[in-house]
Amino acid sequence: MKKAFSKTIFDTLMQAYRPFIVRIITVVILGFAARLLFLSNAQMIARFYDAHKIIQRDDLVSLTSSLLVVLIVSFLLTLIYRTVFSRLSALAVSRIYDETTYRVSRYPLSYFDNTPVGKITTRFSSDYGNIFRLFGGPLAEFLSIIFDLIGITILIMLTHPYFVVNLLLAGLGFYVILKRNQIRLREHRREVSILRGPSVAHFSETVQGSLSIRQNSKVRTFINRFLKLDDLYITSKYHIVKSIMRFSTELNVISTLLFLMNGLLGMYLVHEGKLGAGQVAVILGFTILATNTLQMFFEWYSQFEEALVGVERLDEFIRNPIEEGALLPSYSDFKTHHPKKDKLNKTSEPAAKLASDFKLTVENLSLTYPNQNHPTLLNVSFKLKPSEKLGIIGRTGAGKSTLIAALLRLYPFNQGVILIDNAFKTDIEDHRKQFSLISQDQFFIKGTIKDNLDLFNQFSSDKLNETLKLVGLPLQLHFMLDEKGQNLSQGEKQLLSLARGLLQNAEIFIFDEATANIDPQSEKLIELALKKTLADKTQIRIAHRLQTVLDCDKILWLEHGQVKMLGSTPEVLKAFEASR
Amino acid sequence: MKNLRSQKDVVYFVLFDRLAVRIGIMLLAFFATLAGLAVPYFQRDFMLQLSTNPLFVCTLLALLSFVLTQMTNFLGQREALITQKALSEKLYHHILRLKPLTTSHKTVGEMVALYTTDIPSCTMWLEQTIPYALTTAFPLMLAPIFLKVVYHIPYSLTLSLIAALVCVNLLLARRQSGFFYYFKILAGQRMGLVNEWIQNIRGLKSLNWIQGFENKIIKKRIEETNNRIAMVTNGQIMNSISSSVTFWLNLAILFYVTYAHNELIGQIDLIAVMWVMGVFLSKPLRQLPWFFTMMFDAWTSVRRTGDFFSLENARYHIDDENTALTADESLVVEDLNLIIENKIVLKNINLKVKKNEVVAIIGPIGCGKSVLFKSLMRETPFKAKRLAQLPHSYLPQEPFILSATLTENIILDYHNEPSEAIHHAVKATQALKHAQFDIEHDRISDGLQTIIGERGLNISGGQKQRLNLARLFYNPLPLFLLDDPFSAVDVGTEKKLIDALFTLKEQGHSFLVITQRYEFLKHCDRIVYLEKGEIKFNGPYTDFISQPKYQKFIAGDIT
Repeated sequence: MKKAFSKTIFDTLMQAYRPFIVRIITVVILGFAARLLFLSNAQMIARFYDAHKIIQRDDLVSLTSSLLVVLIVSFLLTLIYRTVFSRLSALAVSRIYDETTYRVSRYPLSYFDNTPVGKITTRFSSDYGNIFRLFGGPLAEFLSIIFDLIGITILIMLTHPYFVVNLLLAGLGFYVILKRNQIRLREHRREVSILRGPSVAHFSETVQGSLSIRQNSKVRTFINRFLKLDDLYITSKYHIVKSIMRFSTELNVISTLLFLMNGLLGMYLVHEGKLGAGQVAVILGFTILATNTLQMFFEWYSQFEEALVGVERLDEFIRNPIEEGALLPSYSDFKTHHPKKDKLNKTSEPAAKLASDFKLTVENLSLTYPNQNHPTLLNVSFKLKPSEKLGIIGRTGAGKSTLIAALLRLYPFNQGVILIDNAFKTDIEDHRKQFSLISQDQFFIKGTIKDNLDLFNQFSSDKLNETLKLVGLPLQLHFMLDEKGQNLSQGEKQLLSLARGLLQNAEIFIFDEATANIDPQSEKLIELALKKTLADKTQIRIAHRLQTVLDCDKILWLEHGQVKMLGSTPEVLKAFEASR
Repeated sequence: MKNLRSQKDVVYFVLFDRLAVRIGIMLLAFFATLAGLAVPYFQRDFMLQLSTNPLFVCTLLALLSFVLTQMTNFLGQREALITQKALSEKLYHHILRLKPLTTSHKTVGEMVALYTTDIPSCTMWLEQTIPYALTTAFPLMLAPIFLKVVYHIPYSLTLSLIAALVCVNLLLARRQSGFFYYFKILAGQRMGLVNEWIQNIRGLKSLNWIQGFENKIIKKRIEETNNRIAMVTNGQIMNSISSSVTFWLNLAILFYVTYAHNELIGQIDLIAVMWVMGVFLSKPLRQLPWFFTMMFDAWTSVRRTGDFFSLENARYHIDDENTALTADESLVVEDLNLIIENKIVLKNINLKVKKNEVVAIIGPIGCGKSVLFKSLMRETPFKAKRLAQLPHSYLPQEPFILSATLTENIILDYHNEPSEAIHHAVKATQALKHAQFDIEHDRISDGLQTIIGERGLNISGGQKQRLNLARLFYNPLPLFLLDDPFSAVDVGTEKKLIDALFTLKEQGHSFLVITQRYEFLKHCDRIVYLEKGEIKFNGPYTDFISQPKYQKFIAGDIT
């Protein structure tokens, strides 16, 4: 079934090429001129021969020198066209990449919860790779193939209009063959891309779990599974090879028929005295050249269709909605109805601060996750003064983690409001800047401690060392972390996260003690850090163990997403203990 | 199946496996070339006589040449796929053989890339290089002979023209494959960042690092694009030359005829010469640069693949493998030592686990706990006087999850039909329950049939770990080796898990448990304290906790 491309992809392509459009058009014209010059070469020779029945050396000299000039000019023009066009085109499509990145970053978090990572990353790997590969160099080639076809047609027509009939007939044949094969090829290509994923995923799982597979004596099972998946993939690739072979064979038959028809027609025209033998030879040469070129044209054509599918998939990403309150960076250049930051960095918020004693005000907050029927948070309200400490307790599933997410506005809430200094921050980044989340599973990458603390090199080493010392993390800045920080203990991760929070210098610290799994050494350090370093900050502590919240000013007890109790620490803890 | 062990093996396998077919392909290419060369000869006849017979011969020969060329390409691609499949199978076997320490310097991504890019690239030689080489090389070799014999154009001219062309193309192709090499590296690095970005999007959002991280990706993207632009430019120079080369050759021949040839050849003859250059050689000459580029490119992949195949496991050694366990033992280790890269990792390990015993292994980070487990499973090159144990199952520290249904993950096997799942449903549900896996969770919508993993539902680290535990509980073996089973569970769940373990203990199973949760120690029969690869303590909890040194360790004294 032929699916029409969505209209927006051409808009996206236009936006991508917009800054280069004048230069692109100029070099395309140059390129076309160059191809015409090239092709006229043969025409010149043919004319020359038909004009000179007996060749003199002097005539040849004038021919060769004029050919040399034409050739040099057309070669230089081609060179300019191909290189400039390809370079500009590469720059243009990489703009699509950047714009997609700006938007995906700002998608709502629920999008990532419900979409497998692989589905998102393939857009940036194979889809982008495909587009880049084809729009980089081959597009210039594809266009020059089209120039060739147009040029050849013009030159053949100039030789004698009768040949046009042959060309039209052959063109019709080519078209029918293309249509017939296109659908089949497209199906096979789709099949290959569907079957690739499972075999690669299985291979990657095996790499990671080979020890478990051996220990469970499942080596045979896994080999069989792999052979099955790989065989499906290879077979589908074989189908493509066969389809292409069939496609080319059909094209070749038509090409040969065209050659025969042009030969017969040429013969007839020479007998009639309407053409010279040299011209017939040129026509036959052109026929083979044209059929070769046409074949290349069709091969590229189906590949470009693939690339357009890639553009379509990125285009879809460019047009997806972004999260509420998020703004695209000011240098984002595609117009897609998404809100954008102003060029001038407005650093100061409008000073419409109402006089308020409260640093943080949460009112009537309710949150229902997308795809769920029941609210996870319901009418949660509390207020915190500057440097006040709030402990949050509750059983697993009471909504503690959701409350953190809600405070950072990671998910849209159905009702309620979060005010900071009694004001609502419309820009979500401004809002998040007010908080530092300390958590053992926040963000740890393979790299040094320095990379993990200060990814964008904003701070001096002294400042970083000072902070590490302050939180008491006994590691050097150049210490290497494994993927996801696997070689750090949970406690060390908490401390690292704390150091990062301190560097951010936010006003409100949220301390997420996600599990009780902390080695004793780090636990001591964290206790110290919380007491000393964060003394003047507003704090929210989500606790697993009650001793973490003992020194809080008040406690919020969450149950089934609702506030069960909010009051002074001894009061709430007593009630909580009693309920166990 | 023969194993490959080196680069040389890979080259031989790619080139000379199924030799008869390969030779067949060469013959086909040769005949395709002959047929192609015969076309201008008969075309000359046609031009001279202007009659139908030579035209038909011409047409048939052209068709024959097309078909034979087509067959060559097709068979080449078919061979490439067959070889790709065979190499993949060998690689997969090899991966399953390699032990953790052997591959410790390789990342998962690198090894997956061997399968996804390097093996297809190795077989490029068959898919493209060999058919191209043949359809390129034969015309290049035969054309000078043809020109000499029929038109007396000297070898010195044709051969030096061809040599010049090959040199220019080789040079450009060499450059091109260099760019291509960097392109792969840069794209890999960029995708590493993209993966980090998507997987950590929550953390990045909460840190407000979105824009910064974005710029980091885009910086890499720009680096990649710049390399790509240099590559495209070089490629376009190659293309400009190759697409105009027939015209240059024509001109060169014409110059020769004009200035140096002693006999003036007739007009028809000259047209035929031009046909050879312009049409017959046009495709081979267009392919020439890409042929070289692919050749270079495939070579780097062959090297990488060969290097990986040459990895070998170092062997372990046990002096006494014959003494059987007594009826009340489930594990005996005597004098086990392990040295990795000149560092003593495990030293004189002596350990016994009786039946029905729960033994905890604790110690500071990096003391050798996990590597001890791996040695017990004979996955490291240790030396030991004796090592014997009952059948055992192992819980890895990093959970192992398949992109498959929950049931398939538990039984570690794949269903051919979805209906097979029913046979396992009762036991699987039971195992999940024991492992405290939360199957009632909202997101696990299809129950046991829910597909999880990379291509399905993304479950939390804790859930993954409990699923791994369920795999062990599904078919409990006499001895359990559990590496940090409580690392991602809350206190309530931990209690329930401990209960589940003790139910199994009562049924006669034994446990060796690495843990950081010291609450659990109270329940254990014995504590083994490991420090710098040595067992420093081995005894009951009460003895352990009575020593000040260990009290300090448990209390987490930081001074």
